[in-house]
Amino acid sequence: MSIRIKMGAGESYLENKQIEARLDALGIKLNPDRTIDESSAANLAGGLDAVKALAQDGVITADALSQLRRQVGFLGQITGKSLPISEKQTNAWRALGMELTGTAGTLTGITAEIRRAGSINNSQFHRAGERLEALEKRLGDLSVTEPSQLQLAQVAPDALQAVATGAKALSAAVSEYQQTLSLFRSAMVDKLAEAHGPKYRLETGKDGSHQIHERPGWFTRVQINAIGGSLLSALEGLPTWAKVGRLLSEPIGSESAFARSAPAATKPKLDLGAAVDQAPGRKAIAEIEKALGSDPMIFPGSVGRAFEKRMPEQRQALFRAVLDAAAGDLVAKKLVSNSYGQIHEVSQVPKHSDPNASVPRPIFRGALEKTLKGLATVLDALPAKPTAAEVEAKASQMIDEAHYAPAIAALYRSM
Amino acid sequence: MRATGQSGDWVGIVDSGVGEALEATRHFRVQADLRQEITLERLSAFEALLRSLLAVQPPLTEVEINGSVEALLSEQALSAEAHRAGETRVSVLLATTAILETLRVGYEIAMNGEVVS
Repeated sequence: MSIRIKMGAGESYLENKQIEARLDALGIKLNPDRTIDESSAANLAGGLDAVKALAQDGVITADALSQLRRQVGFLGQITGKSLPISEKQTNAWRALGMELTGTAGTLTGITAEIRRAGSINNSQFHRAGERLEALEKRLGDLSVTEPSQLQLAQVAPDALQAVATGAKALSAAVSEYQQTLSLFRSAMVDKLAEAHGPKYRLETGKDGSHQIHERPGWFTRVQINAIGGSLLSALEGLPTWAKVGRLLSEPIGSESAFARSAPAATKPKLDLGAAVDQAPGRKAIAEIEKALGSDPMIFPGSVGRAFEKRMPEQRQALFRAVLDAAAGDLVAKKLVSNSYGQIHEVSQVPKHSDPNASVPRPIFRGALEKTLKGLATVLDALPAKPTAAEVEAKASQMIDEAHYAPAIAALYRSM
Repeated sequence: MRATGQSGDWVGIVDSGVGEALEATRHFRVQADLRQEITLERLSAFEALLRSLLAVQPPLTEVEINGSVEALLSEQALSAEAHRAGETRVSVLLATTAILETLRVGYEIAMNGEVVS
């Protein structure tokens, strides 16, 4: 993509040269055809400032500025150098968009079948399952639920838009499908209750004595299969649904690939040679575990208090030692997000959440334990005096190995 | 139900409802594990609760994704509403999972003829 620098009418040779010099001083060289592109900018951040100034002067148009800002935002702040859109990456995301739309269509078709026929069968469940499996495979192939900054930077915006549209369609289709299965079960239960009456029946004998008669199981084998199959099908779709939900929510506009408010270069550089003290991290983990007690369900308020109030120093030490100092916020948040089932970032209880709110938002012990275990495992896997680089490498490996489905499975178990 | 342009704190209302749904599910699960008060009517009621949770998932996803795309295009940070919608969407998903699992236990009990009237 190149952007043409429009010169004002009647502009003098001198003015022309002034603009060129201004660009040149900030690291942008004008191409012979008076355009700038990726190869023009040796220093994109500085170049952006230059172009902004030119826009304020009315030298270039707002559209051109917008295009360049996007280009610089996508590429410069992520890589610090020019990076073209990758056709391969873009096509992969376009394919994902089509897969999402196709899966939504299949589920919508099955839902319509169920509603029309008023019955459900294994064939429908298999079709839904197969389509969701195919989608899951593509999600896995692309690593889209944990996309690297580099990958995302190489995807054309229209492909991301296609994925967004497909994700919304699929979300609606899964919801409709599951609601229909639920309605089917409800109708069956209602009919049973109506037909059979209560489970226990009181009979009065001729001699005035009373006898309680217990009915056998409520459901026939066919009904059991229908209910069991529908529940299983509903449960099978949830992990994929969860992945689709976070497709675009995490990378875009958050703290990862597309955050452009502060160039990476302005952040303090990590001292990858420094040794990391593990003791504060281990102490924090032990204290958090103790604070949680044996209650099977915990609440953000208690987590927030544990992290923010009861042990602020240890918490800071934990994240400084294990994550922040080594791999930066991104690694910390991703690790926690994976382990946490994306409920809360341990390091940052959302500001809008009032820990003392009357309606607590439950989170599950299993998920938090998984987080703690993950942090402890990072520490265990390291030598006694690891360098920050070793911590970073180990944490990155764990992030790569982490998967959303096990987090969901852990949540199942925690119930 | 519309996700955007709603008056009031729509996401907050959903959020509160999800918390209550989880509490109810937890209570029901305890009763199911203890084989107490599992009736067909309650199973049906929890199916309705499940459907209500399923119904709020797409609009939440839409708010979240629209917010994400808007943030991308405007090069701004993710809006607070989109951020909250994302959090609530995950809570809804967890509640959905919990109810489905609890229903599975409830139906197992019913299938074994342990339902009480």
